[in-house]
Amino acid sequence: MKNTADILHAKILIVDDKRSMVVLLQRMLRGAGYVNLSTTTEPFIVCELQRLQGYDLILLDLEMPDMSGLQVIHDLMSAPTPAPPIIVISAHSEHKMSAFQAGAKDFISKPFELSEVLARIHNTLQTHLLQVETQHQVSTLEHHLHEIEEQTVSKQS
Amino acid sequence: MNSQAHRQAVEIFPASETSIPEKVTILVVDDTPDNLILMNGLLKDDYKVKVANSGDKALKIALSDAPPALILLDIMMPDIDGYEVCRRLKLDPKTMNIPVIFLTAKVEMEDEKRGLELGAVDYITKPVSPPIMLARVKNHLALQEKNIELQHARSVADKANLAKSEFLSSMSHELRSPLNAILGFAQLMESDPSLASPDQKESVAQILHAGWHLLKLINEILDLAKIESRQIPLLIEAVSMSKVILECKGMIEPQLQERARTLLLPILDSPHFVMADHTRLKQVLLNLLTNAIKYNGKQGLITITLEQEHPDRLRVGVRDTGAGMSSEQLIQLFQPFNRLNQESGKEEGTGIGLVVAKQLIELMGGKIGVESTPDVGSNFWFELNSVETDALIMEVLTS
Repeated sequence: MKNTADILHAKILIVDDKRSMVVLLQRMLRGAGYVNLSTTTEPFIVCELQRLQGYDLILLDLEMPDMSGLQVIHDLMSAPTPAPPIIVISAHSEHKMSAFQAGAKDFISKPFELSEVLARIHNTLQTHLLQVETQHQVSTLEHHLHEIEEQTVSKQS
Repeated sequence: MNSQAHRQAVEIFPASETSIPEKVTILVVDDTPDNLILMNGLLKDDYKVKVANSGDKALKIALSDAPPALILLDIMMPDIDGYEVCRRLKLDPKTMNIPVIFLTAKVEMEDEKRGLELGAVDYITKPVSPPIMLARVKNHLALQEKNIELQHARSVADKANLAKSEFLSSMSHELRSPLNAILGFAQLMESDPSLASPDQKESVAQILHAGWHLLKLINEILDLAKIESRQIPLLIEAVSMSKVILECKGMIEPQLQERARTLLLPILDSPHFVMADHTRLKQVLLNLLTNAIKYNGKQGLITITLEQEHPDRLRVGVRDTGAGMSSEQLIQLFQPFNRLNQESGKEEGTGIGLVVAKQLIELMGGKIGVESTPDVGSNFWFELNSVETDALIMEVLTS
């Protein structure tokens, strides 16, 4: 299990074209103790932000006038840098399946209950951070294994 | 003011007031030139007449950009006979609505039957009586005109209904985002420990309560709009009423305890299969049970009854010991946004639940109703087609 401090330090990006939604989610997360929060109302720059910042989680609206959230997911998924887990927040529950198919990890319908949103964010982050840690440990182990192999080879010769 | 309005009305419809109606086209099909000449002579005063001396030519004219309003069709013709022409006309969506009258020397009842079965509107045997033939043509043209008007009116109505459903659906989605902001910020305030004054807490609680109620209302309107426009696919299958009753009992247990109501179940020693959509059947029963919990007296009793009205009809009743309703109040039930809730004041409801229940039960081939006695209580019931367990087992064994 990841401890709460790790989860509260996760880097989260909030994307919604409506200022009120951004403020609501930001205050909700800040109130729950999250400290690394970024926000944008511009869906176009999400991919670039992800490349520069490497977020641990993106909260994404679907219905944005200039660029749909589905397109944002698609762009994130096809980018060279690994995509973080994405939680879609939308008033259109009929878009649930297309969001999941595009690669979203979770779907929250508007209007939502704050406690439920916080629980879902917490769970998604926990899984994601554990995954990242496991990957890190695997590559460290592989690195050690490689070193041992090289030492063995040099000793034999 | 008055005269101006009158002038405008005249200006809007000048053509229909003054113009002489254009003659409609009638196509006469016969391989005998004499018959064509005769028919042309009879019809040409009142109609624009087109003639064809073979089935092939008749089909070409019918499919052209200027199709006839009616076709008089001979049966016995070389190559393609009249029956075949009629069959092909009725197959093509472009020509299927043109009325066809057979005009033939074939007088056998079998021939007439065959012609009418192919979709012809009438069958006239030769030799024709000119006034009767003309009268029949005139009647069928009038009928056809009414048919087209009806079709048009229906398509306008269908479009309007679809537009209404789409409007309601998009409206309820558009309402969700602002409502999310209201509920979201109110929840933030509610969880804020610095919100000191009890009055402020009470205010926030009221905003939240009203907000969630509004959301329920929006969801129910959306549901009703979907049901009315038949956008909800119902999966009708044999569903065990006993199982549904037990499922609903589990779901309302907390409400029963909270309000100190007692629920009495019927003896559920057999599955009691009915033909229904499982989810929607549960929705209806839950609605009736929730109402019975809400509108019940102190220490209220709720009784579910099962009656096998006929061998193939099961009646489910939900009886309460509430205030009951007068006959005037009963009329208002099952109507959207009835005023019962406002009168009783204490309980908050949307008034849509029973409307949805009625629509759903009727879509599942059933009936819903209520009997009530003031100060004694009400009995809401619905009936559905039932399936005998034996028949069902036989079906399973033989399939």
